[in-house]
Formats: sequence, structure tokens, C-alpha cells
Amino acid sequence: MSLARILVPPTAKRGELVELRIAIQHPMETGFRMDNNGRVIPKNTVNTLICRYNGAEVFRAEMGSGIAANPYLQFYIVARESGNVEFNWVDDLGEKGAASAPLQVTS
Amino acid sequence: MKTSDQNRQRRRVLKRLAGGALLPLAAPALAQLPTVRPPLAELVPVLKEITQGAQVREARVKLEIPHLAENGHLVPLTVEVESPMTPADYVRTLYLLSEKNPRPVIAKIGFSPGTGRAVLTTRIRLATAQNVVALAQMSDGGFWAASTEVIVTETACLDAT
Repeated sequence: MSLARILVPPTAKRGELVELRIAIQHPMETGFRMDNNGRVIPKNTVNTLICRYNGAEVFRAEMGSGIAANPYLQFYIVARESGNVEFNWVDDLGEKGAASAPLQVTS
Repeated sequence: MKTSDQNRQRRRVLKRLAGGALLPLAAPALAQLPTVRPPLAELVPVLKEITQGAQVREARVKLEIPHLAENGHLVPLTVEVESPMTPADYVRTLYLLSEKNPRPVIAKIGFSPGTGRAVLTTRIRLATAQNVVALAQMSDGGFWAASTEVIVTETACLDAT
């Protein structure tokens, strides 16, 4: 399970735009580098990240070697109901990661 | 200490400089700044595969990326697509494309009406100085794009480093 830091504001007004941030600790290995013995280090990137809000997918990122190491994404969602903001991601080796935070919506 | 007469003279000179001399200098310099340039020959096959021959219009997408990146390993970028983001009209997919990276598709981002605003900030790798393209597909199937040239002084090396 890989590590990540997420930033989800604890509360928001209904209909408000909420800024979300996520930074995943991951080398995003390109597959073009070699180790000290001249062997190619296999490509290993976080290929899919999905953000769900109250169980429904709102944002998805399919990434590759063009994304810098320790991928960082910042985007918005609209606060509708109180609930969980969940992030799920998987890398090329099949290693999965998850993080979630509650978002309380006030009217 | 300056007399008021000297001050007036100084202001006149400054005014003339600002109005007459500086502006013609600044205008051609601005015109030379890299902006949208359509050819992007290396990207044509990639664009064709994504758009299936549909027309791509250069508007509505704003790509904020430094013109001069000191380090290609980490180039911050923000893309904003103008869209009401309602269930009837929203940005479905945003592609970040690079002209000269070994893999031209940097990322494929899926937005939804729940996103509220089609804005993404992230950090990308650039193998060399090149054009970066943000291509957005709207829910009606239309394509909109923006491109910017980025000069990279230290590249994201492809060999053992």
C-alpha cells in the first residue's frame, strides 16, 4: 500500500466549489532508466487514480511516465451532501493505494 | 535639492520615455513570445487517434506553464477549460500531450459535472524543450485545445542518472 497525503477541507457550504489536493509517494519509474548494473528498471507508474464523492466517481486521472515523481493533483468538486471523499489508485505493479476524508456540508 | 522646474522637466522626460520609446520596444518583444503554434508535426498521429479526424479549435482552454523550465523532471502546470460543467455541457476528458517526450500522452483526465470547474494543477516531466498541448473533449464531442512552448534547460534524462 503506497502512501499519500490528501487535503480535503473539513466543511463546505452546499454548492460551494471545494479544492482537493493529493500527493502520492511514488517514484513514477519511466522504464527508460538503468540501474548500476546496466539493467533497465521496469516502468512503474501510478496509472489510474479515481476520486469518488459519496461513492460516485467525480474525477479520474490516467497517468504515465510524463507525470513527475510523487504525482500531485489539484482539482475541484462541488459540495452537495455530507459524505466521504475517497481516492483510490493503482500502479503498474498492481500495488493499490487508498485515502479518504470526510466532507461535512452545511447549508 | 531639486527645483520644481527640474522636477517638471524630469517628469516630461519620463513621460516621453514611457509613451514613445519603451512601448515600441516592448511590442515586438511580446509578439516573439511563444504562443499557440498549430503545426506540431510529431503530435499529428496522436491527435488523429484521439480526435478521429474531428476539428480541434484553439480556444476555451488555458494552459499555464512556465515558458522556461529550469528542470524537466518537475514542471508545474495548470489547465483550465471554460465550461459551465452542467450535466448538459461539461468537459468529459482532458488530454495533456507532449510533442517530444518518448510517450506523448502525459495524462488523460476524466472530469464530470460533479467536478464543478474543469481545472487541474499537476507537475509533469519534459524530456526536452518542446510544445505542450492541452486538448479537451466536451460532452458534445467537440475538441478544444491550447499549446505552449516550453524551454527546458535541464532535461528529464532518459538514461541512467
